[in-house]
Amino acid sequence: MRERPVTFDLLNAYVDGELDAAQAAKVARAVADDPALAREIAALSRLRLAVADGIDAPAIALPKVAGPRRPMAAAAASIAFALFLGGAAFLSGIDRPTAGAGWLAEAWQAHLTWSAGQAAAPIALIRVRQAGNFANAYVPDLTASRLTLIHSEVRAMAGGGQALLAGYRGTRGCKVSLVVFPARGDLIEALRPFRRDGQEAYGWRVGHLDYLMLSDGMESRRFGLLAESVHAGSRRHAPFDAETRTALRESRDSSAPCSA
Amino acid sequence: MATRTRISNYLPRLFGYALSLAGDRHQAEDLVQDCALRALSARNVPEDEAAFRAWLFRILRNAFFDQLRRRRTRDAHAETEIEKNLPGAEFWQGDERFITALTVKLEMAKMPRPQREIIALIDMVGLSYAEAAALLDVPVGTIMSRISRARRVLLDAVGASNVHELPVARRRTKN
Repeated sequence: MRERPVTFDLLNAYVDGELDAAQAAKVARAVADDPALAREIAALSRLRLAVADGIDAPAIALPKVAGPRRPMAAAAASIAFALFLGGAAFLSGIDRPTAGAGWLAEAWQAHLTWSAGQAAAPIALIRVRQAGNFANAYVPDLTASRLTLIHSEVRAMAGGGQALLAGYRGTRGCKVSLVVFPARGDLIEALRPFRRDGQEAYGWRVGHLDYLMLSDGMESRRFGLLAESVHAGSRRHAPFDAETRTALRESRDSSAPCSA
Repeated sequence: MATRTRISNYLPRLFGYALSLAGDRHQAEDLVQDCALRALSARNVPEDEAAFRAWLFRILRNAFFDQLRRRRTRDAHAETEIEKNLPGAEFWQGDERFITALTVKLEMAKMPRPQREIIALIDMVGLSYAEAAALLDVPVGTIMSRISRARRVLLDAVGASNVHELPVARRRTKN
């Protein structure tokens, strides 16, 4: 068997333009003398083109971000937002809750504060459920909607008492908060939407606890389905069934990235 | 040029590389979004285009391994597979007419991730061996042997594939 003048590694490097002039000349001479090598060079060249031509990328919309994070940006955003709210004047749109809706402004402030921070590692649900006096709170697994639980805290509320905040983050800029606190009498068992510009919230009551879900920039259709699913799950205090998980997954896949 | 525009120029190649890592289109799309989000939020963006490209693809690769760690999926064994299951023949003996974008895409999807990745980096992204070596943190010689072996596996798979594009009939023209 005749010894091959160049190795397959060298042929690849030749096709990729990675050889120095002397090595390239050596391979070129070998290829000129050997039709089999010439066919291999042709095959490699064709393979490279076929790989490059095989990219079948979907239309991808870049997520909107405010720009590079600066120190204190998150705090400044929260303060500005809180000043803007000016109490219950924030609550407008399709539904107006009763007076004393400072809890909604507080929830928004809490949402904006954690969501402006750096991405964090996922948190186990069990840890959140064990927080403070919220052992009975319903904190769902939202991975079906590609949302990962990355933030958890128990906050003191302005009017007294505490609230459990669970923060979820998606992979396309989406951030969702679930805030649970002792019922104040403003929310009812049915789901109530609160909307303003791109900011949406849903609230409801289950037993002695009020629930609020908040998101800024998530498509209304997707967020509505998410809130309905969490609302239904909290009433049964059970994980999502397969049908709900599928619906959430499809909703997420057909939605645009979050614009906040 | 704005970072946003610069990233947009790389979107198809970012997706191709993401697909080679994830092996799933939805996950690949997520990875590109995650990568873009991180890049757009960065305070220091390389001015030089080659450095920018290497930086961008490193972000995407880091995002992939972050996701992998989050899912606690062990994929490490795949790294060693690149040295195994190699065809015995030194040279490819197939018919080059079968090497088409369709057959290559189908067969590439079946390859182990490290082999898909090296082919994507060199042939889709267009990195040099030195750039790929820096990204993967391996010597240039390792890149040279990895791309060679990965292509040999792909060529053999394409040659053995029973999926081939039909030739397009030429339209007759009246004189």
